[in-house]
Amino acid sequence: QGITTSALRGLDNKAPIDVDADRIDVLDQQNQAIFTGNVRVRQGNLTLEADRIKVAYSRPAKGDPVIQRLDADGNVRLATPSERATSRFGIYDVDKRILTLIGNVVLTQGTTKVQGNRLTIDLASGRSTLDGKTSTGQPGSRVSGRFAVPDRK
Amino acid sequence: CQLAPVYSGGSSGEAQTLLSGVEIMPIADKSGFMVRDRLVERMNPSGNATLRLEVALDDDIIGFGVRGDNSIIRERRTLRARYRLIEIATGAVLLDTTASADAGIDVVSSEYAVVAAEATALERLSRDIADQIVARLALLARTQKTAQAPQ
Amino acid sequence: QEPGPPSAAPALATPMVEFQADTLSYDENLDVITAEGNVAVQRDGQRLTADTVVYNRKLGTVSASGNVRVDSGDGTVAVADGFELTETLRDGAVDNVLLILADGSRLAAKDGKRENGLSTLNRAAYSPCAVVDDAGCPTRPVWQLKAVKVVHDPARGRVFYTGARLEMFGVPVMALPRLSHPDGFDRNQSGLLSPDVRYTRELGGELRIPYYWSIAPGKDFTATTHVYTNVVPMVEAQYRQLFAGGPIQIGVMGTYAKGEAEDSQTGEIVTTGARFRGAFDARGQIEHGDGWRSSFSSRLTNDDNFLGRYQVSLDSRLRTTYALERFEPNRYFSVRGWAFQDLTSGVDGKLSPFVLPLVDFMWRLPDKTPLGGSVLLQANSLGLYRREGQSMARALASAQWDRSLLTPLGQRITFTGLVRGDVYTSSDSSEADIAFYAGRDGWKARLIPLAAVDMEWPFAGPFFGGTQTLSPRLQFVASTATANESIPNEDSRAVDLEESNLFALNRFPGYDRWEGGARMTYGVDWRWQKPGIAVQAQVGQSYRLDDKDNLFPEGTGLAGRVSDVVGRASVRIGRYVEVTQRLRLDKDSLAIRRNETDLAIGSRRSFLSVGYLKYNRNIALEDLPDHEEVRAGARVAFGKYWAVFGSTVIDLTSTAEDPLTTNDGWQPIRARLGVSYTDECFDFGLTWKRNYIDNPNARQGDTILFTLALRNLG
Repeated sequence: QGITTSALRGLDNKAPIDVDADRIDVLDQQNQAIFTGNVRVRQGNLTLEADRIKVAYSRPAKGDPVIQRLDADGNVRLATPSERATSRFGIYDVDKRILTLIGNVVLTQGTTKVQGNRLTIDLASGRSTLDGKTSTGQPGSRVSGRFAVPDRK
Repeated sequence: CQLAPVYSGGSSGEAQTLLSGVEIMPIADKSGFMVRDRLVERMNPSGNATLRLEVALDDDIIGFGVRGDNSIIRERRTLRARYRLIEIATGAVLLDTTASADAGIDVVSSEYAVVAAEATALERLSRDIADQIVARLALLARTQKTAQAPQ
Repeated sequence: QEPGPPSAAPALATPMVEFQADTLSYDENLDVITAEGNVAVQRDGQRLTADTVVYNRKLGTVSASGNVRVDSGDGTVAVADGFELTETLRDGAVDNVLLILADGSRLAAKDGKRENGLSTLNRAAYSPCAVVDDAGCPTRPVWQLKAVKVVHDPARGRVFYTGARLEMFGVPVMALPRLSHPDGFDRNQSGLLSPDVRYTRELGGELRIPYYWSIAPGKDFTATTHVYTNVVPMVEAQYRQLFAGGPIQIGVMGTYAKGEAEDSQTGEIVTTGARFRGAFDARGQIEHGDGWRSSFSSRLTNDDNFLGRYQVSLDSRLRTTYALERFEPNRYFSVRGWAFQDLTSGVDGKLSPFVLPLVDFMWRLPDKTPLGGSVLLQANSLGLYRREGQSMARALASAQWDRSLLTPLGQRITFTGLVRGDVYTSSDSSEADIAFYAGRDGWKARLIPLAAVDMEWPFAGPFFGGTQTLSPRLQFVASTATANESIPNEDSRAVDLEESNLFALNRFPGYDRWEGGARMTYGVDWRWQKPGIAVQAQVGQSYRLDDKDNLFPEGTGLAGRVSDVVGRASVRIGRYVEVTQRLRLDKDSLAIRRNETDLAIGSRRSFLSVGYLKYNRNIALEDLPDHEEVRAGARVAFGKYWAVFGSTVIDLTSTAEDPLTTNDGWQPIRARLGVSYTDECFDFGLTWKRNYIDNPNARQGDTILFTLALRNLG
């Protein structure tokens, strides 16, 4: 049982995103809402939790507001049925379908465990890259990890 | 030159006091037995030792005086000792030196007579090595004394 | 709520790969993990480092590129440009690889692959030599082996070559189509040892090919074939085993060939018919525990001149002995046996004695009685048997009491009392080879009392920055006149007064002769020690207080009432210069009776040692002619690896000293000169030896010895 293909593949970014938190502050003019306290965001089988998440949305002429981007910070936790990741900050750019976690990122998938400073998951191409760069892009620490070797007899 | 008796003060002098405070460790082989026997006889250990003497022996026989038919007429047996005096309490090495003694043996017609002469030579060399060690250790008492209270 | 830390990794059932890198990317569609930026990957002891590692999980391949280095954990390191490996990191293909084996030797190849440990390299070159000189700049290895294909099999610990070619100093020297050698992991690998080549006038060219077989740890066997151009080959075998109690070693060598011997009438050296000729040697020492120990050594041959003729040894007397010893703090006991073989031509083997049992027993009684002295009990027994000639047996026991005391003035006075009882028996004394020693047949007994007083008075004082000690010594010994002539003398024949036996209670060696009567012996010992310098000198003489029954033969220095003067002096400067002079001067004329001078200068790498002796003792009894000799040995090391060495023995005896001698005061016996080169991967030696006198066991003429050893190949 090794790394199974990630459940993130083919996440439908059109699926509804629902967010719940202890408190919500809506800044209507900037089309933003700030959720604080045990914030939990769910889209399909992806769950993103953090102490604070700022949601930016756009307001089409008619219809409901569409979430463009979520910025999470403080105890960010990403969970899907197949893997889990933790970091200090997280950015989910829904339009570009890129999910980025920054700040001692730990990604665990079954027995595989990898650590780094910045994890970028491109949901469209299915490529995820982990490197040691800090949030400002400077070369920070190294990436390390352990993964199981599928035993092929 | 000022020469003073090494054992002045007799059996209560510094030299003999130092010697009887030495524990003599066992030494290997027959030569070791004979060297140690002579050391014990001359140093007269008192039982409560503050110093420890370790001796390692090396014994070899060479032949020389080669005649036309490649036979030799003389042998020389050399007994070498490497010995260390160690202070039991601190483990400090007070003395680490060597001594050597050799004896000549004529290669006579009977080979067994040569073997017997080699054995007797070993007995004499063992006594000689022991005496050299005792003389050197006794000197140590002198230098320590002069070191402590120079005249 | 805070999710718990990631569940602890399951027990390492499944093999885990650990890695570090600058960046790691994972492509889900292709299921490929790419790590970049000095990547390090470990897996159960294997460690791979590279600039980039791509791990294709579907195909299970790991391909590393950019100064790749695989350390396989057992000491072998592979350095390459590119590596295609399986997930086990063990097997895979590589190009442009350099394999560094555990012992530092190197194996480079255009490309290669490794499957379950077996590395196969194509167009490879192997060399254990240094590839950088002292300053660290690259240098061509002294020798290397180039081969079409090289297989390194760590399981069998060997490297195998096909189409190999030996290149020395860049020049192709020798083709070695099929070759294998140990890979340096396990030192005692079986295999060919380095051959060496010799030339002697008698045997012609000689090639020695040793084969070493490591049977098990602590057990090995070496078989050497000697192939000659002039004579039939000779085979030599040696077995060694390390028991719990200690090592033993057994060696046999033999050939079926013509021999050479001295014709007893003409003295000419004649060739003798072909037959089996060989030699045997064995050695060993086994601790049995509880202070018991056995030691044995034996050398035998069935042709007097075999050992000399085949360059084994020039010894003319071979000994075989076994000893069982018991060591205790205050007691020593041993039982020993001896057998001898005399190789000098014209000596009848039946005259050589067998000695069994030779018992030795010493017991120092622990308590200090009587009168505060200490007692040493001794016992000895000897059984000596000759097939032709005299046989004898003896048993003796003695008790020696010593009491030493120190006077306030610093004199050490030792009183000695000794009583000894001997019982002898002898047979066929009429057939003894030397009548003087024979004694008479039948049973004899004697009782020997002795009393002695010995006074030493050591003084010490500062002297030129060091310490000098001066210790005069005076000894009185008195013993009754004891029966000697009627007793066979087997072990008191080698008598020569010298500084080492001057103060002995009995100046005869062994037990069969006892120096009776009363005498006074006096001497002085002077030493000067300073850091780096040690000078010492001893001189002494003895005077017999009565003049009856003096048994010492002429020429031994003890024949008269006054003994010859014996002395010795030595000077040692640092660890590099040591001169020792030993002398015996005639009591009347002070003429030199025995003079031995030894000089040693230098360290182990470069030294000069010279030994000079001159005997002018005119000993009548034994076959000990007056003799004068100088022997010298030197070794000069130059550069880091080269050394020149030589040695010679020159007989300076002139007919004035020994009327029987044929030489005229300058007759070299043998000489040796050689040059050697040894570095970490290559040994080379060229030695010239010359015998100047024609003997059946060492024919007059030259010997050239050439040895070449390539490390790991030999």
